[in-house]
Amino acid sequence: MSDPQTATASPTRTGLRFGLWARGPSRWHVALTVVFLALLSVAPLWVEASGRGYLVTVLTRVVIFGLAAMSLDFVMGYGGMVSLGHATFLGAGAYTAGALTYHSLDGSRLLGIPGTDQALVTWPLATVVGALLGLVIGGLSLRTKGVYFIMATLAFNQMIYFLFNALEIYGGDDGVGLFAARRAIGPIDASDDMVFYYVCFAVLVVFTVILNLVVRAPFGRVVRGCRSNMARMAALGYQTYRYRLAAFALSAAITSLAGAMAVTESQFLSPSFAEWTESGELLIMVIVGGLGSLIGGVIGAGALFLLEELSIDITDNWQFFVGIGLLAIVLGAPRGLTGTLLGGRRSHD
Amino acid sequence: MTELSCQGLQKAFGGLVVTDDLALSVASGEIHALIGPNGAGKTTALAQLSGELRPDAGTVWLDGADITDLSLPQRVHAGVARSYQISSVFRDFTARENVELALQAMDRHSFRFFRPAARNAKRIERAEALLDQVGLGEEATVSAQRLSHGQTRQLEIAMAMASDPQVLLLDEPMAGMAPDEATRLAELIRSLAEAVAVLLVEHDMDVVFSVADRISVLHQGSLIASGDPDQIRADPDVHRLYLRDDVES
Ligand SMILES: Nc1ncnc2c1ncn2[C@@H]1O[C@H](COP(=O)(O)OP(=O)(O)OP(=O)(O)O)[C@@H](O)[C@H]1O
Ligand SMILES: [Mg+2]
Repeated sequence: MSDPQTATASPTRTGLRFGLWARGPSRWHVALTVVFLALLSVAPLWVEASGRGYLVTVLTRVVIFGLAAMSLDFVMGYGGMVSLGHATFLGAGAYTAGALTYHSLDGSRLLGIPGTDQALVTWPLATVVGALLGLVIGGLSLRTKGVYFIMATLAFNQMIYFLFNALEIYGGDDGVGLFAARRAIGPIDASDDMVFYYVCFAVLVVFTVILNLVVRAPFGRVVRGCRSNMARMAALGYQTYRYRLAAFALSAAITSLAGAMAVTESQFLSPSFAEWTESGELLIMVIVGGLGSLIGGVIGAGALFLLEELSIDITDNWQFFVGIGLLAIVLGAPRGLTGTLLGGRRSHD
Repeated sequence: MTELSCQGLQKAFGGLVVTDDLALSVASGEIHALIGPNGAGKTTALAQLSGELRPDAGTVWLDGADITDLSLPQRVHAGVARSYQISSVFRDFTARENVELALQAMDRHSFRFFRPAARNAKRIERAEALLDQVGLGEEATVSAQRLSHGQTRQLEIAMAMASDPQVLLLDEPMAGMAPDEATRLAELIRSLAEAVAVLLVEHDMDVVFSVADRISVLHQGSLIASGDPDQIRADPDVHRLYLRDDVES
């Protein structure tokens, strides 16, 4: 047979063991992903060369929040789990990394362990905390369905938000500055914004590859099957709860990592990371970028921050114009930006 | 030799008794047809055998082992598979991916995160063989939402067979099929039944009387008759309540 799917089944070329660069129906999606990452890889050099070096930090936030939106898209666009509580994990990551940094500045201890501002410690730790929290919150929320699931994730979001607000040691609802901390990533001194951007960009690339592999892997198929028809998955013999929970925890872990990166970027820890509006903003990024495409989350983050940046320049009432811009995108591109660019082609095998 | 059986099954939705002291059995090598008018409780009975619905009372056995407490996915792994009266395939997957997904369910687990599923040549081959068997070989790479009604029914069967079951519970597999498709499917079910126990719910009486080894008639949740096709044809109760002029005796 000569159809593309059969062709991918029997790879003849070496190096095609992992199907990311496959010739299957998703090659357009892979191409779009590569093109957008390539753009991001030169974007800071370009803004600096054009005399707008201050935009490098905006691009860094695009990368960081794009990573969070991408991991939200993984549970939402592929797993069918609409979470209005992903800021929970953003906040958890921020507070894990932020608290460790705070205690390293202060010289005090956190639960008996000394603090550190070394990102090679704080970021992985934040990822683990996110995964564990994801297991707990997902474990409880996934016992509900549909709109109740959305409400459950939102309820946990509020709980965590008020918990952070109550942490007087980190400034309560005012938060606390960590400006004296280093931005050290292993041996790399990333206090320079350009260096820090590329560190974050590298993390984004790694997780873009990982998530694109996961959605095409057997695990990803099960997760997608659960979105499509959960009852049928059970009738095929799948213990659907486990797979959905694992997907949720994976997403929570990555979002938490993004939260840690965000606090290292801003050097300011406050409960606003965990505010539910932040969950809404991630949701908007995913929808604007295109549900079920992964890279769409990053594109959506780019669109949102770009709109903000443009409107702030023009007017004080920038949020109004961001709203109009979003409306224009949603009306003009109902499948999101990636959906429109890909013309409905599949974003997985 | 495998046998699925139940005894004393009882199920009510609110005040409506849908399964009333039901006892049934089906063994490998035979097709046992479960017939009855609309709303008699056939689908509900299947759902209790497959593990989707918990009976209010009663026991389900597989080869003498009590499986009443096993969940739906657990029973699939124990060897009981079913198809659905209302087609329930994965619309955004291709026909072959639907079967691949059904095959993958038989792996010990699917916590495999990196190797692409589309590269599993063995599984793809097996999926294509199943599609061929049900007559869908040409449609392997067609998206499930583009399949005709009859083809979707065939896909349902391929997916049910993917788990290599010992017991197949088929809920009106021929519903809405063109006559020639239905005939081919009846032949397929007949051939499957050589190794598998088939419990067949079906409204098409021509099919039922031509393929079934045994027929049980359900009426308002309880069995009013059970026996071989000739006995059922001759049963006056069955005639009065259900068959009327459908089958001439
Ligand atoms: N989940 C439910 N809740 C309440 N009532 C139900 C439920 N499922 C089925 N029923 C009722 O139980 C009765 C039996 O339904 P069932 O679907 O088992 O019948 P059936 O014999 O399969 O009918 P058909 O030939 O139309 O498929 C019907 O009156 C139906 O309305
Ligand atoms: Mg029915």
